[in-house]
Amino acid sequence: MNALAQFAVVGAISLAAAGSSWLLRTPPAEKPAFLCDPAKLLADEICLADVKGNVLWVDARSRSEWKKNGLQGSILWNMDPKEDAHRFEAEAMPHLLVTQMVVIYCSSKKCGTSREVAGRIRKMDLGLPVKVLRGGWDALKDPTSAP
Amino acid sequence: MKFLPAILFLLAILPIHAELKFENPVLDADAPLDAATLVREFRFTNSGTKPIKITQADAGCSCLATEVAGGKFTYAPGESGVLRAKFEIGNFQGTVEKPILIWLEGDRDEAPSAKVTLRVHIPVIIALEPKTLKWEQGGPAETKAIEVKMNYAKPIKISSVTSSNENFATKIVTIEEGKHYQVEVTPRSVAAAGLGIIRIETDAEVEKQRIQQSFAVVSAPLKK
Repeated sequence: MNALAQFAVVGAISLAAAGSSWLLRTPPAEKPAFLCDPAKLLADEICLADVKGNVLWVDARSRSEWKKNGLQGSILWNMDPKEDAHRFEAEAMPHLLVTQMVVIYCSSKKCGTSREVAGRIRKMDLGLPVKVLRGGWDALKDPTSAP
Repeated sequence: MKFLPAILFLLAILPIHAELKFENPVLDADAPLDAATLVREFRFTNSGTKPIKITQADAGCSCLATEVAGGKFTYAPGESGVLRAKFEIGNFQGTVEKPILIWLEGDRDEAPSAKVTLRVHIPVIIALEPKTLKWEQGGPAETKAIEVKMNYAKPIKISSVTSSNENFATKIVTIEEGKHYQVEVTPRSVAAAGLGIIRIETDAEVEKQRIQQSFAVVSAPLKK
């Protein structure tokens, strides 16, 4: 059998396999928008499902995003150079004094602003657990990851 | 079928090596005191054996914009380019580390081909410690102090200290003129919970660090 014939055989087998796969196909399982794996959490992160009790939500997105759909009861605190950093601190303090935990969310999974804000809140030395929401806004908008 | 093993072997070794190699994957940058932005360049080379196409470079922060110099995204083997990172200093202080992830064509979302880091050092010329002074409701109304240290070549003086809550009296104590001060805070009463914002104004040249703030808090005792 020459090389051409061997290619033809390999091609025919592949086509048959692809055809049967197409005929027997099942719809793909719907992929959740966000899945929080506790095993992959960093030390300062928390899964949405584990957020319980008296929590202060801090929105680290832009002011316009926070106004549009920020979580009810959340406060705004971001690193936007156009914002007043002292004002964020001063406005947050009364809320920080009456909460048991702070959870910060940002606009995306990769957003680093949450960590910067978390650092600022820890520096206020109130002894509160301060966590970054794993998945940020992606986790919040996905109903399957809700507690 | 004597050629079949050879064909399968060739198919197995066919995936060709693609690699994006950066000269300095971590760049340290000292930000000038009055700078609003800082730009640094990451030089890279396609050290693989096939062309690569950069599809995305993301720092995950609106404070850091990235661009591939010249708008060129495809690089032949051996060809070099520049990834430019522009950091908006804004309200950042101290050392800020920003990782930038780079995806090439064919990369999965969760597996970018490369990662570089921009580490920016932003001078903190006025340091306060602690940020919050605390008293327990019903406890002793003793005086506590905020240490204010100036880390700048020229002296920086405190020009005024004010409290947003008249329950907290303040006093400036000079330890070393232009270098080190204490701001003493004394609550007039600790009978009720309360919060005061202590505003410390200085004559620092750098406007964005000229005013500092700290907090005085009387809070209910912890439940045991």
